[in-house]
Amino acid sequence: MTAVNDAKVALDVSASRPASPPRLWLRLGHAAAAGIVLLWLFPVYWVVLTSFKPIVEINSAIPSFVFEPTLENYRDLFAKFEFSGVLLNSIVVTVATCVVVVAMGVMAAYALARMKVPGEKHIALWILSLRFLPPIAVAIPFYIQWQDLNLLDTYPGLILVYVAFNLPFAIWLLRGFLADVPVELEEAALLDGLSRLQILWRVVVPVILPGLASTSIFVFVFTWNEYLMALMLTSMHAVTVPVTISKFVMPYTILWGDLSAAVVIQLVPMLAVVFLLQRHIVRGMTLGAVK
Amino acid sequence: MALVFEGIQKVYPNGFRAVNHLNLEVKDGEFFTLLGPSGCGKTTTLRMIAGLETPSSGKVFIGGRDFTQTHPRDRDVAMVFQSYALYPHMTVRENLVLNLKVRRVATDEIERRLQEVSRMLGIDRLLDNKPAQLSGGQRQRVALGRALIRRPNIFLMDEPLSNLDLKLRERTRTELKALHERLRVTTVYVTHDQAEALVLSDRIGIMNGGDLLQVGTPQEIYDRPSSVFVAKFVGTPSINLLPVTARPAGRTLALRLRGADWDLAGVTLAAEQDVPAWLGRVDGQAVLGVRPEAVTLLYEATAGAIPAVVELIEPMGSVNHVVLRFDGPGLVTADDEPFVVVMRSNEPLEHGAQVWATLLPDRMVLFDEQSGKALATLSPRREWRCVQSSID
Amino acid sequence: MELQRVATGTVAVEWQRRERWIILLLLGPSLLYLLAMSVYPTVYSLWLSVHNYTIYRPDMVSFAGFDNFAELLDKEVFAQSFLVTILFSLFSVTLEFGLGLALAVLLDRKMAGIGLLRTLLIVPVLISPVGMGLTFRYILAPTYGLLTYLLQSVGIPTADWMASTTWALPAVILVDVWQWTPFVTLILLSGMQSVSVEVVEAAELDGLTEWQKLWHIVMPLIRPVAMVVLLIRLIDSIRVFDMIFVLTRGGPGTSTEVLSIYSYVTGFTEGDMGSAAALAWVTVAFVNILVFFFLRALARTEGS
Repeated sequence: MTAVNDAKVALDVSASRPASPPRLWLRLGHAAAAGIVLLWLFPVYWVVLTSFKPIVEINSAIPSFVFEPTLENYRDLFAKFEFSGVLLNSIVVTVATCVVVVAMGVMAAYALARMKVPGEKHIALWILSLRFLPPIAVAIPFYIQWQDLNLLDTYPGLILVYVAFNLPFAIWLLRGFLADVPVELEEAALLDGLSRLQILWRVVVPVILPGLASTSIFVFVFTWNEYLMALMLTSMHAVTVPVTISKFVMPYTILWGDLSAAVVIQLVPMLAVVFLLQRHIVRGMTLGAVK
Repeated sequence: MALVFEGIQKVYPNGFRAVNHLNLEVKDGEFFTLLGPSGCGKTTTLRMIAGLETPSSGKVFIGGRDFTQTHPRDRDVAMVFQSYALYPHMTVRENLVLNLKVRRVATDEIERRLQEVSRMLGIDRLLDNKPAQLSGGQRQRVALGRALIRRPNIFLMDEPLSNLDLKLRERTRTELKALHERLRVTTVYVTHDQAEALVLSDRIGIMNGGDLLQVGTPQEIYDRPSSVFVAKFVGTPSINLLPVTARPAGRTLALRLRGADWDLAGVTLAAEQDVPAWLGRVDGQAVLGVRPEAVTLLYEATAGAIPAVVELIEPMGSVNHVVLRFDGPGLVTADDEPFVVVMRSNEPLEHGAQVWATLLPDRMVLFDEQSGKALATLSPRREWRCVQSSID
Repeated sequence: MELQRVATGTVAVEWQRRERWIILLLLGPSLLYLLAMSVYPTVYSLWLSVHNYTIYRPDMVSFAGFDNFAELLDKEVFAQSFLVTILFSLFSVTLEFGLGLALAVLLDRKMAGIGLLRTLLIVPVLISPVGMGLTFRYILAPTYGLLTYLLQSVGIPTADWMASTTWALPAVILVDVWQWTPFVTLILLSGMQSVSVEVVEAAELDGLTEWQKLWHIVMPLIRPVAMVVLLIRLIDSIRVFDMIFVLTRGGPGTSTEVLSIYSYVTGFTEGDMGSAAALAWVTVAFVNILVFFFLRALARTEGS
């Protein structure tokens, strides 16, 4: 025991080593970290706060932190602007897109991961390049074409486009997750007697469930918040939440109350998603560059 | 079920030859081990039995039928992977019975086999656990169970013990042997551990660089290795190799250590033929293989013994591995490896002591210096028996 | 298992051939779908860019050759828009990267609740740019905005940021930086955490200070990740649309009219779809050129 202690003392006392930061600095650092993060989120608090303020308070020159909270903005939102319909649109479109993208994506990614495809690198690069396309470039053709096909302002019209936007990234992500599944697992399944499709469904998919969750998050967030395509391709029936929010900015006045309430409502599912699935998010964000 | 490999080759698109012209026969109920260093092609061969790899040419026969083109699942072959490959999202029970369910085996039959196998392997208490909750040894048993429950015709194992620590490995090794004795399913086992191969196998096939070098029982391989590679691979410590010149002397073969003034007295023994055919071909130059346990150390100069100095003593418990350095320049082992002698540890010996080494005529082998192939082995009747293939 | 390419001179086994079909079936639909949905708009958009097409008279379509592109070069508005985009991109990315790195270093520590803090950082990224844009518009508003109030109460003069041609762009940059700095932070942070503990400990034993550790050990090791996030932000900032559109619509005047918005306005307000498409393609080309040079510069420095 003493030999160990001697060694420890020797190390601690080594002259060439500078002292580690004193406790004060550490504490300050902690405080700074916490402070900055919490402060950074201030605009979020503000919009939540605002949504519960009566209109009088909202438009007053002196912003207040203490007031009589009220639900009038929310009620107004649903009563006057048919927000429940808009919310439903967003939910339907987003969920549908998620399901389709993940289903198609997993199959395509599996094929890419397990099969030597000629020109694999080129396909991968092309798929990646789609992520860097400015939406405006394709918005115009879609608008014109959808007009011809009577797909404007419909669920399918929007979903078709969103699936096309999300699929490349989803395939990219899922391929990364699939690469982590050891081949031997599938070989064992092969020997056990499963067919290739059974292997995909019963062995591979359950194992990459976290990966599917991650991917769904990305698709969900992207689609839920998407603005440009929704703006162009919808008007009354299939209009989604982001577009409706922007409509509160009217020529001569801005309905801040309803706006805040809508922003908060839009935010809620996002927050739920974050807190439930935080672990999975970062991996996808780096496009798998960091494991 | 017997297994036959006929002219099997595996060449990869980049030109790499994993397996060269393999002809092999595994008898029904036999425990056959493919032994060799990493990359020698033994795992590739195993996978070709399973159907996970397709041979570039040649055929695979199981029970007399050509299965070369058949899907892995229809070959009635079960495999235990090195990493066990258990389904992580399924319980042990589900892992074990999946293959039976897929083949639509009746539920009561499934239950029966499940009980039988899990009890036999001692995992019956673990059925509702997931693989992540099990220890390495337990996972290995589940992998074993998954293969056994199918009652396959052929049982394949790819280095199943390599992930276990030493004590567990030895214990499991014994259990595997007992299991095989009991079930007598044709088993093909792959390992690079020669001790495992010797303990477990009915017969061993040694591979290197894609070639099958020798097939035989453990004892045959040990006593009559077909080449320097085989001799060195099997047996610890490795066989000692000494450069010698061989001359016919009457009806005996006289061997003289090269680089020293010493004849190997007591090792000149009756040869089967008058003059072995290979003698002329190699011009009398050969390499003598002597097992470490076939050397006796004496403390006084004795006729026919080689003087040496104790350079290193490695205690191994009941025996010591003693490394010798020979007196006299030019007297080195044929492969520059240390000359090792195995001695009982209760015999006193000191580092630096002068000893005289007597080589015992116990399972000596003569090798061709150029090709490494065995030329002659010493039969138990103390006769040099020439190896067939060296007679050209 | 890779359905292996068969070795020289032999044919794939029957069941392997069948599996190939299955795999094609899995990949086929996605590939075809993507092809259709990307090739078609691409081709159509290219077609548009070399035609005169106005939404007000869709029947009057005429071939325009490269006129749309040539006209762009003449227009001052285009040069202006290009400049705005570059300024926006430059400032926001630099700020996001600098602040993001600083924040990442600050948060790379063990303390109670660090997990929660990191989770909270994801929130700005998840808010729709529209929602956030408008929230900031409220905060920056001249009469009832919080920021205006705060600045005035300490005596700093304020202006109607959104209506000022000088201040609109900085305001918009501010919002972008607010939203995306945490993104940069999170990614850099995850890069920092994947630096093996032993390497850091070895550095400590060698006697490096915190600064030295950061500069010589951590930074080089997170370089790949940093480059990825830099590239992503660069490209995204050139493509930006939602947030600016909803904040200023490109105004006042054209002081915040980035390329995407300029394209939108050309197409949907002026109705000139041909030019709008041409503009969009110029943006795409710009992005691709940028990526190309970026990657090349990256490869060069990697080699050294």
